[in-house]
Amino acid sequence: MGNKKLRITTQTLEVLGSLVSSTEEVSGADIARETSLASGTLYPILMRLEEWRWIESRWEHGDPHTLGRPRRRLYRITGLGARNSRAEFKKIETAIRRPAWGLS
Amino acid sequence: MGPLLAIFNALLSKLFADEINAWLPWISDQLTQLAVKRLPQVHQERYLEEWRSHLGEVPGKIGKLAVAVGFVRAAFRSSVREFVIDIIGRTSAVLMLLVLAPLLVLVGLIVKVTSSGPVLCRKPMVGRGGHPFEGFRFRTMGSARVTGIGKVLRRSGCSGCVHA
Repeated sequence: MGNKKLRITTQTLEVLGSLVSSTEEVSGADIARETSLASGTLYPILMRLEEWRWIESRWEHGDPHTLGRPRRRLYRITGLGARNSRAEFKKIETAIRRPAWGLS
Repeated sequence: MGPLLAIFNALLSKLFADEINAWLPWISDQLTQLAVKRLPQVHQERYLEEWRSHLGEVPGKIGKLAVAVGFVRAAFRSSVREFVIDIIGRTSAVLMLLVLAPLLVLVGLIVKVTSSGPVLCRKPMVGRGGHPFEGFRFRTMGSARVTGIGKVLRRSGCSGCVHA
């Protein structure tokens, strides 16, 4: 059951791109701002990527009581995720570069 | 009469707008809680805190409401996947049960004939997502000791075959 077919959508690529390019850990709200994806689209993607172990997450340090607000969940890309993202980006790149008349 | 009515209207709509304005954060939080309840139980606590903190980062009450509606959509999408997994699991369980039915009936008969007491006994088990459920197993004990067929069942690991 572990290895389901991985479905990469353009939105997934946007999320991966945002995570690959950011040097520090980011929250879901940060990613939503950067990619301008709606929360209803973003979170299913994040859940799936975390399930595949392409990304990982942890709570920000601190206690909600002393912070006075709920803690942010911080995401970062894993080694596996970075490798696979690069492969996916490369696929898109070669698909774009190949001229249409070269298909025959 | 005209100007008076206009003033009254303006007052009323101001009052109404204020009222909605005051309710919006509450509605957003309720939607978030509703969304979280649709997720598998193991994830509920995490996403309640994560999504509340996300709402805190969104400026404006209308913006928060839109994001909260998104949470409901997100939870629904992931619960559709859970639902599909659930259906597949149940269907294969029923198929397995049908395939194994003759064998199960045979074992049940042997358990019944060789010792007194019920064929099956209940046993609490832990299922998907940490949900507890009651499973059925073949009874392997008779008057405080393991029965003959019980030994075979225990050795073959087949005593806990039947699903809830």
